[in-house]
Amino acid sequence: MRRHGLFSIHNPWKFWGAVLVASMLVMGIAIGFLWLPQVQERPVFGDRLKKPGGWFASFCRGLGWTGDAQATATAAPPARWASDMQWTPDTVHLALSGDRARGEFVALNCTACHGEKGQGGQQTWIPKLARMDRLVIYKQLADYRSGHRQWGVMNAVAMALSEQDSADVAAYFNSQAQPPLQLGQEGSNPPLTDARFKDAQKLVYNGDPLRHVAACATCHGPSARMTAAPDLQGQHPAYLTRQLGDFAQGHRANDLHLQMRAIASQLSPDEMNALGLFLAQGKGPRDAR
Amino acid sequence: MTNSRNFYGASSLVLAHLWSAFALFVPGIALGVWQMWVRSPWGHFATAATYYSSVTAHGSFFGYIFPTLVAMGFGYACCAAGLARPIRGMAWAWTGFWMVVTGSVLVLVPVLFGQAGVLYTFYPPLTANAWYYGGLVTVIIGSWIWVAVLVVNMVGWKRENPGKPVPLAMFASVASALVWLWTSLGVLSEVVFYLLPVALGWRTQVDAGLGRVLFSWTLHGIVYFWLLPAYIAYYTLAPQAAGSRLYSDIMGRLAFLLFVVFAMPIGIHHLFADPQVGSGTKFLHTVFTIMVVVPTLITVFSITATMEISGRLHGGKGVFGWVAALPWKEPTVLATGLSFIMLGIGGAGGIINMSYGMNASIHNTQFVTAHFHMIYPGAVVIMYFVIIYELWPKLTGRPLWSLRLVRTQLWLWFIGIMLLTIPWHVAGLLGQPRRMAFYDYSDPVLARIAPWVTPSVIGGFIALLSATLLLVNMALSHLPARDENIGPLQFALSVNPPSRIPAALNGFGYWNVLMLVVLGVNYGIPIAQLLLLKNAHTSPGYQVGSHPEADGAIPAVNREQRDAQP
Repeated sequence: MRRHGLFSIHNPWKFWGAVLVASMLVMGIAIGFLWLPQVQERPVFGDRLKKPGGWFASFCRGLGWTGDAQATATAAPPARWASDMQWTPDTVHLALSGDRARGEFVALNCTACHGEKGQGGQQTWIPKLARMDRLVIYKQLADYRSGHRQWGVMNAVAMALSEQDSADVAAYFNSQAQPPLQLGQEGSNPPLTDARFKDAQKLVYNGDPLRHVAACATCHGPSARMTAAPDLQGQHPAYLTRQLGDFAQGHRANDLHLQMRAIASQLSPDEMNALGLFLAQGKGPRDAR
Repeated sequence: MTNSRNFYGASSLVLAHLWSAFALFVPGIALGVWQMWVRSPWGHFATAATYYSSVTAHGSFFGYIFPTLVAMGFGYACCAAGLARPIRGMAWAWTGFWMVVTGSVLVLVPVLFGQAGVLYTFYPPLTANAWYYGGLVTVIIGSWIWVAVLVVNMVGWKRENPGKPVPLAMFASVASALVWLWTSLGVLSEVVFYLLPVALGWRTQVDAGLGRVLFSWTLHGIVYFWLLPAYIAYYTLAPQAAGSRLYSDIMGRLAFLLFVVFAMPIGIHHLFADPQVGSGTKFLHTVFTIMVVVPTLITVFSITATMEISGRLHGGKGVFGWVAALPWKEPTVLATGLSFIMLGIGGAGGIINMSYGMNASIHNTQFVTAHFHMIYPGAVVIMYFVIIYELWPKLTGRPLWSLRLVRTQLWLWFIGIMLLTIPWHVAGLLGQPRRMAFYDYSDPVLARIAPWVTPSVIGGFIALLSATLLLVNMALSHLPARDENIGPLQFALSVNPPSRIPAALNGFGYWNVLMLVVLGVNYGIPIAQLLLLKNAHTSPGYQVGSHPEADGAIPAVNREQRDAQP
């Protein structure tokens, strides 16, 4: 048996093996990348279908390196986290150190939508701010500023405010009188029947452990209170329902530990609606019937 | 319990591999039958998540675990009996075995817990539990130890027997090991670089297009890795079972070398409907894919010629008279004949699949699933049975319990698989899509498919019966008294036993280089293209099992309501 080098052309098996593979490669590349892409764009129904570019463009199309590939290109979304807010003692101190008088001046920006003295405007999907906890307002403004909570107008407003401005305006709204409760059911469809009322009441005070839904009262008061969790009673029902829906779908995602997203995703639209009406009537944490 | 004389001390090793491979054979097939049943007109009692978990368990077991263990066990048998001396590196071989077993458990447990319903082909951006991928990596690394043991033994034998041809059984086993080594690199790189980082939460984005290209690198080589033990059985076990000699030893070697070169750099034909791959790349892969028909045709010709020699020795006359004269009572001859029927039909279907034009009409239909069930469980696994039945007496030193039961089992398997896959092909041609958990046959478009699905279910149950019978045969054949006349495993001699063969056909070095050149071009092009078009196709990973509603783990409300209707 004669020994040959790895690529010796004197060994017929190796020589013809290499010739076979090389010719397949050359022919395959020539046909696949040079000839076929040209033929495939030869006009069949007149010139209108002819694609732009010469042989190089069709070569690139054969490679799969085409302009249309960019149509599917989507930039990777940045890594997401709920909020930049960290409740360090310094932050809490700053958020609670607002100047009420200066806040009244800052709040001139807010009146158009949130109503006079934060009592609520005409649009019921915009929250009432009066009596709202200072840490709540401070955190939401910070999240609007950093983009963790999205609402076009509020992002613009928050970006114009400094941290001190936020603390000041929070102090101002917190000092305003409790807005009137919304006892009627205007615009509520379907109406808050007794059965739906009881369902909502159960969710507020007991939650639904089988669905991993914690009771609203666990964090939003009155019996227990989590830092920067807002009071809910007396709020606009449309606002509350909308926030629940946004949490459920992840459009709003600035709850630090996914609590609201986890809970809201377990609620049916009907329950969100009932909860909004129930809490708006003030039958929420403050007033058990 | 084993007969260590026949395999130079490797009997326990071979037996451990083969029993582990077949331990979950019946449950694995039961899952397949159940899937066929629930997507038939008779049953829609599964949630989608359960269905996909079942498909994943079935596919992961039969794609990664079962054939790997069979190839490893049979490869060690070929190594010991073929080289006629003890295997070097037994400790390593046992290490590889336990790694594969451990990895298999890691693969299957997350699937059973509904955390890995990604199918064995993964489909990024679907993401499974990290243990699933980790288990798979363990299986692959464990099987690489087998590759290393076989290569070391062959190289050592060649050094000590200069100029002598490596026995075909050993040569072909090393070919199978090399195909697996090179082909598993694709899936391993997909898992390590793209899927595991997402599964572990280190990264959110996965480039699905590139991941699929990397998987396709594995996807066709792995098919030939499944096939090669069957081909080794054709060449080395079937001839002397028929009382014949192999028609040509050199053609056998050439066939296995062609598999090494062409089995793998052709996988893009699985991605003909993928927009991220250019048409030129697809054409190039089509050209090379057609080349794998050549070693199969060589094999069909050689083995048919081998059988014709046998038929004429048995007194067969005329053009086809020799076929009837073959010793069909011999299980190995029977299985080889049945296997060739299924290989013929399945192979023709495969040529349709790999044709760039025709593929479009059957891509993502049940035709493809039917095709690979015809080839793999049909043509290939029936030869795995041959391996079991040929090796068992040599391993245990005891005769088979009953040849009649063996023949019954083979016939049931053939009937079951034919009844399963032929109508399945038709359902695909009628447009039934694959990878669906549920079909609404009350829809007029699907209604005409329903009659074709029903016989497939029956075929599945027949195959399940046959699989159970196989396990019965394996177990019962440990019982008869030892027979001292059972000699060592003998591989087929060829008509002209090679005393000298060209050095090029006695080793793999050159052919590895040739294959790597083709691989470099055929996969270098699409991988470079997708790496340079960075982020063009990335999307967020989707963790299976973490969105129960969307995964279908919670049945759709309207289905409940509909079922509640009187």
